[in-house]
Amino acid sequence: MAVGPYTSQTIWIAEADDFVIRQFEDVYFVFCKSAGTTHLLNFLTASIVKNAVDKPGNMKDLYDRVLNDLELDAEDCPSELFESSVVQLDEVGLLKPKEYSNA
Amino acid sequence: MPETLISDLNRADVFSSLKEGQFELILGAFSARLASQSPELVDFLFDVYRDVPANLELQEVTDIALNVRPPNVFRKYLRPQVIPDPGFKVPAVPLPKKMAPLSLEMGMNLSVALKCCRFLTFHAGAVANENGGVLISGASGSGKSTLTTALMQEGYRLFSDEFGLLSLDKAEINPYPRPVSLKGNSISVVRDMVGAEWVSKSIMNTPKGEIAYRRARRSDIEQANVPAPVKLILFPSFAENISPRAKKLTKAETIMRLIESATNYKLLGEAAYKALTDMVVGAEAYDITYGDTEECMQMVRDFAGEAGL
Repeated sequence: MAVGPYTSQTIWIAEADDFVIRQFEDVYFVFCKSAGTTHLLNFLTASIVKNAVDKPGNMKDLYDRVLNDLELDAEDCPSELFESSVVQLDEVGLLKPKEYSNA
Repeated sequence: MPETLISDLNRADVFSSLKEGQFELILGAFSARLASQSPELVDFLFDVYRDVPANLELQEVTDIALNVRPPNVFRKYLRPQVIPDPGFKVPAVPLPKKMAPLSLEMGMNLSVALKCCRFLTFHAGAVANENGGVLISGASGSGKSTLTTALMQEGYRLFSDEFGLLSLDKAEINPYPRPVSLKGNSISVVRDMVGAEWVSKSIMNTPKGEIAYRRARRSDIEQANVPAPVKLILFPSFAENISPRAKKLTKAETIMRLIESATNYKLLGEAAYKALTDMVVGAEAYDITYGDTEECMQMVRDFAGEAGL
């Protein structure tokens, strides 16, 4: 469950100033300044965060961009897996919903 | 001002200074103001800390202020006991007065582990030679004190057998060469390794069993202000009658294990994250399981060579 309610139109944002990220081999260590916590991200969750920093978007926007960046298809990364990863990033404070849109 | 070593001082003066709470111990990363009414502590200081600089009167603000005292008036006279009182509440049990040295060591350890903010503090042994340092991280009983001592025999300087003190602004560990705490079977192993004259009398029947201390060498203490970059990180675990084996760890595994081993990682926040990740970039790390110190040292020598030590 995410920290708060969200819809398919919720814009997800990651604030670059709120964390420090360093890559070691194929994983990423992220320090979240506001929570004071350290997180270990895999290539998928790291890409979600990077995409949400560069250009916040709704679940579908981020899903398309991340799959494109990682050269994956829906079979490699089902939307359910992607959504649960977004929710987990929300729970630990690395991603948050920016606003709701009726568009 | 020239340094005065404990061995240069007069016993009666040291005891008097301790009773007045004025005794100042100056050792590497930390200075300590000590207070106690226990003559056992004087004997311990003249034996195990004899080459450490000290003052009979306070010269400066100290990092640690520790009083080894009775837990209450009752226990001052009847079956006397002592506790370490570092000025804040610590999880220390009262010990018989004859175990005052153990109380002193516990108190100094707790002061560093719970109140030190100048360094990222790992529960680890640490040694270094002229090329760099070795961090030996492990829980109690993992053999880190024995390995620390074995590496000292190979010419490494003692930094600590209890704390890896990582600078926050550079990937260097800092010495705090207090005596190496030995428990149970490791006492005889180390006595055989270094000679009985380097190991204190055993304190028997402590809550941790038999305990003795391997004294730091004068050369360790003289270089107690010289830090070293970390080149090799070891995570040992000791088990009887087991063939030695080792596994090289990824940087990510190393970081995760060291976060667990740090006493103040969460407290120091971003500075700790940066210091830790910087350190791991420049170091190789191995998980080691062993049942024989010499067999383990053969592996460690190879790893040290590969790491440029």
